[in-house]
Amino acid sequence: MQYNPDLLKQYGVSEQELELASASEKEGIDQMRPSVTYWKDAFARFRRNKLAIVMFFLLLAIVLLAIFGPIVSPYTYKQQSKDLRQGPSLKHLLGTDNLGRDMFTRLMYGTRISLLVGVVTMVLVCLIGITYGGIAAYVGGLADNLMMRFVDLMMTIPSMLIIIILSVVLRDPMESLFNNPRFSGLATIGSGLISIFLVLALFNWLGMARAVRASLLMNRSQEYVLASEAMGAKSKWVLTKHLLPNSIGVIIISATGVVPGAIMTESFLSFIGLGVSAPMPSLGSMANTALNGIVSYPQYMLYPALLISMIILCFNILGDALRDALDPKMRK
Amino acid sequence: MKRIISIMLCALLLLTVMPFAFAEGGENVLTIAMGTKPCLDLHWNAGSTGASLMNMLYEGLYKITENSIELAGATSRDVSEDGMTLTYHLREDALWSDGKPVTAADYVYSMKRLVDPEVSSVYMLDYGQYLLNGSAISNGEKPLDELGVTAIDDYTLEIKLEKPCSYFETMLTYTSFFPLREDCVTFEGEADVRESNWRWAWNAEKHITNGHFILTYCDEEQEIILEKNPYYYGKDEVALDKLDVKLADDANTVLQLFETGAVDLIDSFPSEETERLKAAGYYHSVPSLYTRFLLVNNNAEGLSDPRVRKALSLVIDREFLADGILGGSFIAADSYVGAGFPGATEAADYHTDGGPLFSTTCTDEDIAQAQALMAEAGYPNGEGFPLLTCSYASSPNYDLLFQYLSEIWQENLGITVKLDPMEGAAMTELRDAGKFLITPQGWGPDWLDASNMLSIFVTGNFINAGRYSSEAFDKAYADAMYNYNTEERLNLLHEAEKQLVVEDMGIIPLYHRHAIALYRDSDLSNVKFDADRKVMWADIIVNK
Repeated sequence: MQYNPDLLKQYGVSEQELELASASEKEGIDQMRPSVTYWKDAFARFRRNKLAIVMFFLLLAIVLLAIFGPIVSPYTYKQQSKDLRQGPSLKHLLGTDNLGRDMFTRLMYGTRISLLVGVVTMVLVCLIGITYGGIAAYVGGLADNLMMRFVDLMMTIPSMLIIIILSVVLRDPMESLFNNPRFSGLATIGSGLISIFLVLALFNWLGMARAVRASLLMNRSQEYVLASEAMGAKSKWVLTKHLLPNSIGVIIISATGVVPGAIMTESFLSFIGLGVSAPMPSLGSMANTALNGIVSYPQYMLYPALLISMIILCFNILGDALRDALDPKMRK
Repeated sequence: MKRIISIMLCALLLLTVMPFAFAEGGENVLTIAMGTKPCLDLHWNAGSTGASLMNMLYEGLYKITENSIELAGATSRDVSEDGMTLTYHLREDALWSDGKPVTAADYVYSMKRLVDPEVSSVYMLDYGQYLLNGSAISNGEKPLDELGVTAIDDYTLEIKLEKPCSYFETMLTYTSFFPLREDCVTFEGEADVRESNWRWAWNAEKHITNGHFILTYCDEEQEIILEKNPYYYGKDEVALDKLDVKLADDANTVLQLFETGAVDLIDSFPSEETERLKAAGYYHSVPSLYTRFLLVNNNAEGLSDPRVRKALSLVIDREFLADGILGGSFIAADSYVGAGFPGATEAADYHTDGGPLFSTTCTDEDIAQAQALMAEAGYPNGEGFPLLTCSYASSPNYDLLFQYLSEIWQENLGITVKLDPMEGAAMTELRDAGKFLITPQGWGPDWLDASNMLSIFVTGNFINAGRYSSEAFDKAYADAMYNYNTEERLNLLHEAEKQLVVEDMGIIPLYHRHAIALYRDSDLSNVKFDADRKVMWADIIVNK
């Protein structure tokens, strides 16, 4: 590029000073921090939480064992043998129980049931909670008021009591439903388990509905939603493109909070004998069985109790870490 | 301030522990624990814990000794030629715990209360039927005064029977026939409510008894205290001064009480702990007379075929079940009536006389035979067999038992088994209504004769909830009842038993229980079981 030497002289500028900036020179000037999306930012913050990472991999290991363990294992959860109450050996990694069943396989299967309960309940809770909270927030007015008062009402009911009653009451209708050949596929899961899903979902969606409604109301009063509506956006567009994506953080946090609660309740129900039907194991029912010989065979209690605690701890710490990571206000 | 409070709390805690720490010196005090709340009304009790306490509190015409039964409340008895009238001469030195004499009228009142439809006691129909007009009174057809039990004078009691019954005297050892003082029985609340009927018995001050012990303290949630009866004629032979019964909620708590040393002796604990307790040397047992069996609905589709019931029984490895799975405090059954019942001669045993009626193990041949029987009955490999639901009151042992049974039945017979554990009261209701396919039941005799084991399977008996009904069985049993020749009578009972569990397999016997006493040898001596396999509390000497 040619410069007019007179002008350069007139302003006292040398030709070198007018060179285009190099890439390395640009870097320091253009921006003080890299451009990051919401998710990248959240992920970075999550990654900085060492404990959460450890728990994540621990949970991943448990989940993988629960899913693939029973498939790989040479034993089934109900296969009995004449080797009763044996200690750990190469043949049976954690020994056998009082019916000669492989403890390790039963534990993996029990974990699978517990996780299944957690995840299915979470999905059901999301479906009910998001729909309910979304409608309440979007419709607003009297309907919102009525719907939220109904939630308040439900919250005053002591849920454990109702859960116990319902799981007893639901047992028979569920069973006759499964005797219908059309639903025979469900029968393999067991009527006890299905009624637990329903009962747990029935009492856990309340928190989710509240959180979703609050988040939607907050976002709705933001200017960008007003702008979008001013440009003629339909309510479906506003809801799916603006409101829900911006509430996803709240939803994820509520959802991870549901899982440990559901697992705990299932374990409790199985422990008092209302959960899955024997011989199908769940961690709670295994702990219950262990009660009958707790002094002589403490390991039967220890294994399932440890697993329940670990799973719940993992979910709780992960939930905390996710809340910290997903909440933009936590940005330092 | 905090410190003061905590010191005070500690002191309070110490105070509550103190009474156990310092037992009164010189007294022979035994502390035991029970896992179930006993009933202390002679006519309302159906449980064994209640019966064992009542045997200490009361004394009937007979008592059970270590080997047999002998007269206790009576000194002699006369039997009429036809065996239908029994006259008892009561002992004149027998006193109630308030010093009044025990008279024939007290026996009459007790037996009238047994059959009184207003009281509606548990064994009203079962035991009352033997007394003259007993059933008619219970059914409201005759007035109470027509009962065939009369007091000739203060010390002469006459009992007339409804029908000849060769084992009636043995039956009199059961608590329902013990004397009772009319003036101490009162109703509180509504008389038709079951529980309020025996509430009076929990009032330690009003409860008057005539046995080795008197009731001195009664708290139905926590403990019952029995002390030696100062008016008992044989009080010098009673070794124990005081029996302290702690009531706990479940077997685990009972065991904990024993292991921490809070109690000296217990008679039940979680069965899984057996091996460890045996190794520790605490475990003392004798085979009990109790049999656990499966009630099978004899009218249900599939199960009504004796071949199916036999197949179900054949594949059960009872030895593995009793010694292995249930942990060793049970005995595999090879017949329905277990060992310990009197046989034809003094030394003989009913069970040994009869010999084993089926195998306690399960071999490959047994499985093949079971499969052949199923095929014969029209269910080859279990095809077409209706879903077999096992209903039971959820308990650790039943859970194990039925998981084992369902596995072997599914595997060997190809039938589909469903487990339906439920709460105890719901199960009792289902069972009494006959709405089940298979459910567990147990029976221990109320009197020391094999007839009591078999009597419950006579057509129409309420315990026979599987509705087993066999003409041959009923006939053999009825013949035995009318036969006064011991050997012939027992042969008839053997015949009835064979019909029940060999020909028909109307029920499936599983195992017998051990009567257990768990104690440290250093603490107690002279712990014995009577012929009925109850611990003889009164003879125990505590060396603590």
